[in-house]
Amino acid sequence: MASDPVGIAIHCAILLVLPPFFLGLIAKTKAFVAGRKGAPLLQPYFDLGKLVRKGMVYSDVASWIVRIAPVIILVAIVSAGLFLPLFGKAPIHFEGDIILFAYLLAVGRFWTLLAAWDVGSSFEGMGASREATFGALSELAFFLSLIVLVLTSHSTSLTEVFYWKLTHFGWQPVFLLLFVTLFLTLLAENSRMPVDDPTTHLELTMIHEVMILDYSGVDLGCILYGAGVKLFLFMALAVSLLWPPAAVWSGSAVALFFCKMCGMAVLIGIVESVTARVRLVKVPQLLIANFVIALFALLVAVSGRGI
Amino acid sequence: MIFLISSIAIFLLSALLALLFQEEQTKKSAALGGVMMGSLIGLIPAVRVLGGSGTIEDAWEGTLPGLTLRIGLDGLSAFFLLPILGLSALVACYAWGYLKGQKQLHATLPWFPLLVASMMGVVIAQDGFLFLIVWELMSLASFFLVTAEHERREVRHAGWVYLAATHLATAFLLVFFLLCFQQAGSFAFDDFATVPAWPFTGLLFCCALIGFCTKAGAFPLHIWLPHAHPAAPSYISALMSGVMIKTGIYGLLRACTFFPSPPLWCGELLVGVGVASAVLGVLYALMQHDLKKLLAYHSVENIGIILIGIGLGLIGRSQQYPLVEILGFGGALFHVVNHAMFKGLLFLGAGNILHATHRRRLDQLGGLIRRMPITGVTFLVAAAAICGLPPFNGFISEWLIYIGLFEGAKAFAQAPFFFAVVAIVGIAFAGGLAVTCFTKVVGGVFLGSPRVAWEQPVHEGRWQQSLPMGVLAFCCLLLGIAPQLLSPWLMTALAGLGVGTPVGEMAAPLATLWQLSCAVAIPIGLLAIGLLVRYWFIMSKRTRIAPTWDCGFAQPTPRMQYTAASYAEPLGTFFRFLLKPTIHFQKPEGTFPARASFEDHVDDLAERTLFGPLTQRIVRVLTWIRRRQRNQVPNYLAYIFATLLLLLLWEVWIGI
Repeated sequence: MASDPVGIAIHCAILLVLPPFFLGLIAKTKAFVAGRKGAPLLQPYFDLGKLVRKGMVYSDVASWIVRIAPVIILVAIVSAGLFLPLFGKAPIHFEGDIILFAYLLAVGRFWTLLAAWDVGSSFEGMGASREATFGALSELAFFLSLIVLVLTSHSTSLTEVFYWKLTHFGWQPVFLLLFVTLFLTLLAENSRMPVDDPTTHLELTMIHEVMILDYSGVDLGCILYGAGVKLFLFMALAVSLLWPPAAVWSGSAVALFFCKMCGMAVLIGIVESVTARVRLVKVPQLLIANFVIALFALLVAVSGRGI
Repeated sequence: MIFLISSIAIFLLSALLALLFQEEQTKKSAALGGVMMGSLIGLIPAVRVLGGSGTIEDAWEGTLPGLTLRIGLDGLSAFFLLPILGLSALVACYAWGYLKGQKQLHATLPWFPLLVASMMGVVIAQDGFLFLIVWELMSLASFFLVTAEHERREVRHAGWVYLAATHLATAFLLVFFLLCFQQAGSFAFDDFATVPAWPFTGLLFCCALIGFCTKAGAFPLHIWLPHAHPAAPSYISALMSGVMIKTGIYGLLRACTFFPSPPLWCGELLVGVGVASAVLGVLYALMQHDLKKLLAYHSVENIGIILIGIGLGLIGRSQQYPLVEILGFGGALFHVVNHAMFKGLLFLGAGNILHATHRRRLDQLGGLIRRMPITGVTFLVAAAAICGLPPFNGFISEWLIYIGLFEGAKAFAQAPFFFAVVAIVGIAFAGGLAVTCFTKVVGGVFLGSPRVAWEQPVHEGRWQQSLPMGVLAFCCLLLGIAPQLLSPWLMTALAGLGVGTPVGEMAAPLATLWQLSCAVAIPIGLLAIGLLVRYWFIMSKRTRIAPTWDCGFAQPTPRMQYTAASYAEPLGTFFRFLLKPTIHFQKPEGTFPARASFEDHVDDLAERTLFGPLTQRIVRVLTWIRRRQRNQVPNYLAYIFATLLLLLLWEVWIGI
């Protein structure tokens, strides 16, 4: 299962340290496109530091669920990151880890939804309802893209999948299509622009932000940090489709990975700047359209197999 | 063998004693004690056989010529006996606490040991004749248990629907076994398995499929489930949903052993039925307002997942691809055990809720986790397990089926490939919807604050109720973290199914179970560290309690919480082309609106488009026939004469 201890240590360090940076980079890109100066690149780290030092307020309705949920969500997302190769092999890899990866992310969602119910707020229930709906629908496209990955690379381990991609380097049409569908999934799963507006200040229109209204202090920090790690994972997954991770870790591999991710963050920032949020009732249509793109990718992959 | 016989004897004896005793406490002790003792004794041979001590067989010459009744225990039977008896013992313990003060339920107690005995009989019967007898006994016993509260109209209706459905199933099974008998010349399962070439396999398979899937509750034959489970007392729902419907799965698997090389379309049909059951089951569950009805629809979903596994196994068998066969059947069998655990647990939890609050409607509950902590935690565990989330057992069986489907998608071409892809997307979508559905249930029932005022103080169940729930929750976690514990038994069961012992590359997925178990253990370790770190962080911090943030509204009330119905509304709206909800909406009108109401409910697709019109037509025909009946002797004599004439002609021309 495990291999090179230094590689694993660097993988874990990057997984734990870097994610907030890309949140800052996306915000900076959006500010730049809008002609503003924007917050410093490291602002998310400052925010996290501030939250960690703060005291906490709990709702009088809330049970222990809301108290342990932030840690569970964070741990589920970070553990999912242990299965995704950033460079070289992932710290844990075995045949079938692709499903564990997807289901650990589902654990995160399950607890986010439960914690939203726990405080008995109408707004949070509304956000949870939307998140549950869109999450279930985006699962369709996500699993279909996993099938395509498995079919093209003949493996059900994320590490093997991207190793195959490395040995068959090139921008095959199937991977371009997959990139599009995973990019849309990324935007939907991480409450980014066409689906949800992360900067909005009206509770009625929010999805992710409204579910976390009642967190404070360290708990809010956990949630925000977890959201950052989740975005990081989806970015790494999507960018690996175009440019797979190196086979073994090295200084240049790490640098290359960092550049790829920065490019991805800038792309997200630009996409978010030039699109408007679609109406909530239209979001399912967007997700189904995404499913259709994934279906195209499947057709392309299958036609290559000669069935 | 002695254990099997004595176990059944104890069940029968306790049923008899429970019938004879009239005093409540004695009646209860006889029935429930008998079930517990019998189950524990019956588990001994099951564990032995699964441990690899070989199969047990016995046969009695019946009084009818040529009729031998055989009972026996092979790997497959023993594997099903495990959840049946295990859950029965736990449910009996639960019932001990649950039945206190529920006088109306005591009258049907003698049927409880009979139901357990007949379920056990179904899996240990080794010939078709005995199988049909115990099958029918099981249906009747469960019918009487379902109609325990027969004063209520909907209970009588539910019992009636169940009786009709289960007899429809038996009718098809009768045809199935008689056709088998005709080919094999005996009722023994062993003789069925040695028939060299089966004619009309398709007809046989369809008979078995309809018969067994009706009992199992696969779409569109599931219509009795959502009626019967809410009507039955909760401990009976737990037993029926947890293990009784699995006898249908057992029957299907047993039928698979008769046909060594089934045609490809059988497996494909099963996968198709499985996907339909999984997705539609969970969609209908999502739209329910009644807790027990919702859980009943979730049984349809899980039966769908099991059928996908079995279908995949059959496809693998007909495509000569043992790896897929092992993963498909193995995943299905694993899910049978898992579903018995978490669905039993969910229904027991529902029983506690019902007992404490006298309410089943999700929109009238809330905030129970503070008042019923044990029920809350165990229900939460079961909810996570049924959604297939790690680190609970549901994930493991779904993982096995997923891996099998991915293998199939890689290896197959044409139609099997298509079905594998559809099944992966189907299970994934059902999983996503299940997360929505169970966050709705747990959130609506246990979290937030109560939406209505209770008539009496809400309390946790008695310890007899909490103990089995704790055991089941622990088992869910244990099998989720250490699935390899079950794999040797799974191998024995697979051998009983005619799947060879996997070696080399074939054993890889089952061997990776320990890898999976390590991979699941890592997040748990991380979680422990995370909780410690959090505790260390908040130790020195000031924490205070304040009202929930309500965006500046001054007087929030519990009624303003989001309800379970509104939570599921977006998905319901999106799928309204399929669900076709009936809406009664009285708009608020005028400057000072006085009354406004909104109500919607979803009717079952199978009931609406298939069984509703079908029964209407049947009733029309029967009414027509009844009109012709004038109760005149000459008419009946004419009927008899005509029948005899027909039979004579048949004998002359065709010969009997």
